[in-house]
Amino acid sequence: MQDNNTFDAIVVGSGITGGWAAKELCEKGFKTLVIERGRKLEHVKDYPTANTPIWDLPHRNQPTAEDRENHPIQSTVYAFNEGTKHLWINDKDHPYTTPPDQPFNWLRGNHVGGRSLMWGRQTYRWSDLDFEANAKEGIAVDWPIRYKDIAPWYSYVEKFVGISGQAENLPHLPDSEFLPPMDMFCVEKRLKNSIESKWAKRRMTIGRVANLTKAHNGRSACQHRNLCYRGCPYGAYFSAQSSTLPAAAATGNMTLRPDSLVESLLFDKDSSKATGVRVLDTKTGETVEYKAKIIFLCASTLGSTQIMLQSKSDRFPNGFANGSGELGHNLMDHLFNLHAYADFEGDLDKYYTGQRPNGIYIPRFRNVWDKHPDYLRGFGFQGSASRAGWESKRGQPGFGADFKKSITQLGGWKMAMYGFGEILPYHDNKVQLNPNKFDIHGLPTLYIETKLRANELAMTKDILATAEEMLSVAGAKNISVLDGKAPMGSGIHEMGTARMGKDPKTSVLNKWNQCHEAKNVFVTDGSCMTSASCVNPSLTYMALTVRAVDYAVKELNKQNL
Amino acid sequence: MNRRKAIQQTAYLLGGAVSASIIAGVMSGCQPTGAPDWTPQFLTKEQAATIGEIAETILPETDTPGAKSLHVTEFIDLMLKDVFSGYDQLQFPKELAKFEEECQFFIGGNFVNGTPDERQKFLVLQEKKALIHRQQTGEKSFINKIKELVLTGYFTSEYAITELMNFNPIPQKFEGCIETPQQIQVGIEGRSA
Repeated sequence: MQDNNTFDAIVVGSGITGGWAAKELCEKGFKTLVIERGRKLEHVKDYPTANTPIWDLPHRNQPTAEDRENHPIQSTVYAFNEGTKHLWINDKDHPYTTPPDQPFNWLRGNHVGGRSLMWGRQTYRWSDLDFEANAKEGIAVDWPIRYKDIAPWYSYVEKFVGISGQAENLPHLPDSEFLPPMDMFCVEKRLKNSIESKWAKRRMTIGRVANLTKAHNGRSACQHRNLCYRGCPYGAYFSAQSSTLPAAAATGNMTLRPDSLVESLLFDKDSSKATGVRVLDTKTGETVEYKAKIIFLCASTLGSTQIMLQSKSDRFPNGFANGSGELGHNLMDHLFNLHAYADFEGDLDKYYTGQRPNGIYIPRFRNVWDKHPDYLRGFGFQGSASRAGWESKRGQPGFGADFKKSITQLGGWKMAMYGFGEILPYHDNKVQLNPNKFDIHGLPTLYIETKLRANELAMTKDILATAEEMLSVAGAKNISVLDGKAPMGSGIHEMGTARMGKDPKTSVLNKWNQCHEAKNVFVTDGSCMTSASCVNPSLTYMALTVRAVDYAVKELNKQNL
Repeated sequence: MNRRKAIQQTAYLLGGAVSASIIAGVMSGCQPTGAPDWTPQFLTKEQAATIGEIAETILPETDTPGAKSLHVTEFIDLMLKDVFSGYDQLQFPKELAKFEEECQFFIGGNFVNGTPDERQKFLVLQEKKALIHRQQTGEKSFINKIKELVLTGYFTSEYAITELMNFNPIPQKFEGCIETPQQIQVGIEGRSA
């Protein structure tokens, strides 16, 4: 290190991918600066509600009117409540805009660890069904990688993360390196048997989840409290705090700088490389420049894209490494809030112990072996059974002693299913800088334009019909389906705004997540994704990140960067 | 039930055309009783007394505690102050006043002045009316909202969770399909403790 502001590597963002980039770079001996726009947040110490019982939360876990006012967007998240609200960004301080009839939910935190603290932890490999889809169907551009390119990196990541799940030998949903699977409820087993006997190729499996079913790499096994979204004092689910950042820190090579907003990347025209980043210290208001040989952008899909859009220069008048003009375009998410609910009769003598921080998973079965007439790609279902307690009986009529007695008795079994569908990459689903609206730091904000199109709407119909059909065949009663009309972004799987591709004319990144036009800048968060699949993407971001670090370090050692 | 009450109830079920002021005149002299021994932050003491009696009518003291002794009224007062939106905050006292007005027809006095039996019958009527209203408009009525608040306050209290439910803050394991244990008295759907 030449001075306090020069490092071997800079990682922007400390969440699920930034943590991995930091760990890998530090373990390879690189002095690494990790820059985080949000506040410092320490593992365990800064989980103030992790052990708070509901009766000690003043409003018994309900957000107050003031919470909803400060978090009009964040408070729509399933994981936003009195016990977790401190982990979600204040929407008033961090605005963005959309066309009035095209809402977009940008759901995020503002702290070290990012959304790795509040993620749903569902962890699935993608397959060539995903990586080949664009090429086969002539959609957008081809992925520059195939499953074989990423498979070893999935294994590498999974062994460290710790993923509980059941091997199923499905080519289109490859198995991970699994810790023991979690159990199913009785009625889930009934539903599974029904689905698998009616449809020979369909499967229902237990969710694959980054919660430890046994102690792993020095972290404790899951205690089955199901309070993950408050931060886990046992470190029993994978987060940057519990896993990657401690590993990075242990090397002595990491410098972590919270409260630091990257305004832009610094670019040297002569070498065609980035030289560093310009950072706004959000506490002091000072601007500082940091230099490094390589830069990893891991600031989340829209975060990294915003930094690149802001990094304008003579060489890059339309945003950093944006010769293709694709930066900010092709924004994707997953179809979300598509629910099915039903009652299951029987099994009243059956119960459960513990709270399972996980559900079931029904892998994609549409457009896998055959072709659906109305749309491309497919969807999967997550879901869970539950036994009705007082919560479900709130609407039951009656008052007094008899009512009190009846409401406190166990009710029947219920099943909920939630569809997650693939959204295609559309050039016109895009994000730009809004020159007329600034945030509290005086930086331009994002203007996000997205909408679902014919393919998504046709798929939505089929998701609801298919859920209803499977529940009906299983003998469920009182089946209801609901399209929650979730704005895009609600799946919290935003992807695609700096996509990978083979051709610099049509993509921002190459097959190593390396900017075509600035070889020492790697973008490895969700912005790199060329299509969206229908399965949860975080594991793929992590695998791509470690793969890119491995490549970057080899290239550096060969003096190619 | 005397004839006068029967007429009032019929009128009430049909939409209520009897002037409230007539009844109020008849019933003058009835003052709320059972004023709370704590200081409400949103409700008046009088309103809090009424809410307390509604809560106790919904979940009375039996072999387990009633709503009042688990401080459900205090919980509702806090929810009204902090959790209800501005509009709902404005509506609540109005809806409570209407509830009391209808109560005058039905039991000939404020809710707190009714006998336990009269109170319960009045709530049953309110709930029937609310069901029709909900079927017609999709909207919840006062009685639906207050009932939800009472149940939430009761079943998220320390006593209910630790004494009435199969409380286990650190279960350590999950088994999804076992015989129902004997000690479960109150079903809980998880995430609440």
